[in-house]
Amino acid sequence: MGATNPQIYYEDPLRHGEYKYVSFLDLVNNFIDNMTGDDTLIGQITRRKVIYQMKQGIRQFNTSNLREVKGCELELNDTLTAIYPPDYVSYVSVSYVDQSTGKLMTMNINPDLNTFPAFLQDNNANILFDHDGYILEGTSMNAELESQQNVITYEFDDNCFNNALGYGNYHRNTNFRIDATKNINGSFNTTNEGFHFSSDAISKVIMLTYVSDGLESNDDKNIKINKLAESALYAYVKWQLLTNKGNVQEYIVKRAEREYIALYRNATIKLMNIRHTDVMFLLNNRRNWLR
Amino acid sequence: MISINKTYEVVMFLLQKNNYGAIPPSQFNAFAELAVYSIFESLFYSDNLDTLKKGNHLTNSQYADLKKIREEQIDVYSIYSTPSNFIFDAPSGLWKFIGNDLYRATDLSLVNNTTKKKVSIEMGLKTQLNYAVNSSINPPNIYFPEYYRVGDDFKVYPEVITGHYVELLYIRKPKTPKWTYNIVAGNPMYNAGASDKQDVDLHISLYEKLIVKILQYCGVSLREIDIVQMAEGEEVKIIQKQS
Repeated sequence: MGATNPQIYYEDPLRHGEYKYVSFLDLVNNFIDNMTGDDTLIGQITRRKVIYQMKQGIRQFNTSNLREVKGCELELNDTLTAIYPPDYVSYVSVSYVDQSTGKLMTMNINPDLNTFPAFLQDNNANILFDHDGYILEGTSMNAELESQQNVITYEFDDNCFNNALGYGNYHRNTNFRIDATKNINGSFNTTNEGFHFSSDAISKVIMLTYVSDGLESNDDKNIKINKLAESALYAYVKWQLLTNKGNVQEYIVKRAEREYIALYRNATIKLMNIRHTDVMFLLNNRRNWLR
Repeated sequence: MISINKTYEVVMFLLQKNNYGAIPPSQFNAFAELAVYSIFESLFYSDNLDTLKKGNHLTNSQYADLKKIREEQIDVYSIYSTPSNFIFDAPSGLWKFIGNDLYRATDLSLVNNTTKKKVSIEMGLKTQLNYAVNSSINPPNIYFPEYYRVGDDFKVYPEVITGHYVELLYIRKPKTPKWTYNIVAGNPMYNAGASDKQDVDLHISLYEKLIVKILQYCGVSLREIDIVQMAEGEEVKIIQKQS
């Protein structure tokens, strides 16, 4: 994916911002062309092995340092659940939209929210089975209560701690520590299929930001990564191929691993988008605070 | 190409039996063909050795680049198929080469009819075919297709989509050398104008090897141990010189 004619670029919305990415097809071709074959450390290797390791690398990079965060707006159903987007791997943040101010109010995960199935039982507490021998399931107690819209409300008072970083308003517990599960913005828990929200979330619009694994398009042509991570990805593939290859001395594998770790760190730092102006701004603020 | 007549004359001169019929033209042609195939096949093994030497930095660049020299000798035979001689057989789902000069397949490419852009089709391992096709992370697709040999034919995964065709890069067979002649006063005389005349289909740098090889076969045929030994000695010298 190279620089293109400016007119074509501006007139085609699909091309906007494309120059910061390298396509998967280019990544594979570049790697095979420059890092495999006669007179290279890796030597002859099948393309499918390169593709496999390249995709594993993209998966790993996407869920760690690439920060290609996606987002979507979700409306909840009666059971206060929301199914994961099709390319969901892990969430970054879950918020609701405050409809009066338009602000995103961050919600916290609460592992105490019941997301486990309830087995159907008879009067003697014997578990009931269907005709195939599988356990019958009912609605769990917690979910049932929430579906009855038993809304819990929180009031702002002296017991509320307004988080300075904007991460919601937390109730203090008795030990004056912040208890994330008592976030006044509401909470949620995750299941294998989606999110399960607390009753605070009734009638609210949820804003979900999440990361995918970079392979979600299911089409090799659409897979791409940020150019700043390109070298680190090549180093990852090289290291993995050498690790799996026979008759390669351990010091060579270690050298490849060190190269990968160094390039990965560099890529991570570059992708953090730290600007010197931002740093100066923060440092100046620190001086103000001290006064 | 090496002149067939020149080869014939040198062989006859060395045998000291110039046109006396001890080695009739038909035998010479047979020995020449055998020699061509023997030298031709050995080029691939020599190429491997040259690659190893290059990897170990035992060769140099430019005129001392042995691998380049060897590849030049092989490149003479490397050609592309055309859409008319490499065709898709729908009932069997196989790509078939319908020419008669295929010696060894080198590479397959998926070619876009319009843009002529090529994508390399990689050869897969037959024993891993099922794993490859059923893979959820890297099955063969139109960007990274694969092929498997089925007999003399080629099975390409995935099936080639409309607007594309498959091109075969292959090593063709060397042409069969033929010294053509007319009988004049009982002796065979070279006929350069014969339509079926065929020069020796080898790189000119292999001329010496060719003569030595033909001499070996002639010596065996004539039961002349001196000729065989002389030819074998020359062959050893050539190998030592090129090692």
